[in-house]
Amino acid sequence: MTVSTTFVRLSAAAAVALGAAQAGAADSAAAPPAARFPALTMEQLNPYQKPLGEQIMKVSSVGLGGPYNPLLRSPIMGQRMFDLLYYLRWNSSVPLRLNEFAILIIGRQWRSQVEWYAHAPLAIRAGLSADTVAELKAQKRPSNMQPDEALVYDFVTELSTAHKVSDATFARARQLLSEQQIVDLTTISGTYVTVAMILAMAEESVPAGKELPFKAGEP
Amino acid sequence: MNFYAFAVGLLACTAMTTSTAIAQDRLPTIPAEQYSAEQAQAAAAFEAERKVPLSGPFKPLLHSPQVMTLARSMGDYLRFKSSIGNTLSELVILLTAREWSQDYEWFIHQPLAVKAGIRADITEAIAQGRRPASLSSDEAIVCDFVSELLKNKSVSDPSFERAKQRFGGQGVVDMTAIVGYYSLLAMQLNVAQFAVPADANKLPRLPR
Repeated sequence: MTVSTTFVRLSAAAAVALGAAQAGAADSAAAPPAARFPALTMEQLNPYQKPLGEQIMKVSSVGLGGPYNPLLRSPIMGQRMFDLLYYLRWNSSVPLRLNEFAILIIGRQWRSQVEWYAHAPLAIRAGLSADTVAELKAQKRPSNMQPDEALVYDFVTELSTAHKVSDATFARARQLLSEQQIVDLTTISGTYVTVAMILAMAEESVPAGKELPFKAGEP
Repeated sequence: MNFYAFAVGLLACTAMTTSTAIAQDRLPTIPAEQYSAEQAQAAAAFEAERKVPLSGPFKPLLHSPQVMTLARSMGDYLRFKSSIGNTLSELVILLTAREWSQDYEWFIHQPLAVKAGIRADITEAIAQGRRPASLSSDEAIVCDFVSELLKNKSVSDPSFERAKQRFGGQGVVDMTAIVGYYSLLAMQLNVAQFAVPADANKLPRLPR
């Protein structure tokens, strides 16, 4: 343990020294690292990707970016996930305001720049109060929620952090939601966990020139 | 994991077993004779594709039949046709089931993983929350990538690069989607408190 720690420190020191020696010669050291998945344009898509790309462009607020950029690398899977996302967005049995709230709760947990960028405006447009969105962003339990919003907050938070839903919260869910709505709410949570994983793995960010919702150094 | 944590896990398992009788009632399985037209169609499509009756997470999912079909369709690819192959995908599934303490996923997939070529001592280490001591190069790449994603909500540059070099861009996307898809199924099963057979091996509960 001690030996390997020392080795890491020495290596880091050597790297700094090497970097300092090269700094004068190579300004490119300051260039951002290469993207894990270089952005694609419609013209670059192959025949397997193109039909999916065309559907994405009709509904996406981030063009072929965000989760779509990595998803296009696996077009069969990408199409099926797109179909599920499309259903959840337009045909879910859960009201849009609660749908979008669940997505934001997951997006906050994953500190997902893209999920927050795309869905915070949709949540507010769907009727979630701007204060609720701001408090969630600040990692507080929102102080002034409707009863159904408080249920969604507790249900989704318990499920995604404790990995289970308490009997008390499930009983509240059964009072306010049908069984189909409980399944859809769980599916929305799980599907946006999947999207958050894909975004995090691919290190996707907001479109060029747009402000990052979570600033460097902020939790 | 130390002995104390393991003992706590066993206690938690015992406590859970006693509550499963009530637990099953959370999202009751719909009897076939009560299916709506949409549910009947979704169940028939499931059987046509999978050649087996509806089981596991698809039972609670049938309360939302179109969602069940759309999720199943992702699974048709991710479980059976993903670009990382059916041995490593079973390893990904076990790591995901362990993270969610999902006994039913474990009950179904631990034997499938062993049959597909993952050694039993590897599955036992994963069940206990240990990194398996001896892994093939491919298994190590998968374990590092998936564990970092689940624990850190990110994948480090070295782990990402190794995985991308070995499996390609499509491979790392598929591997991530398998983690996500089995997380979604685990969430359904955990919400429903879906029961496993009484004699099934249950995952020790690890403090979260």
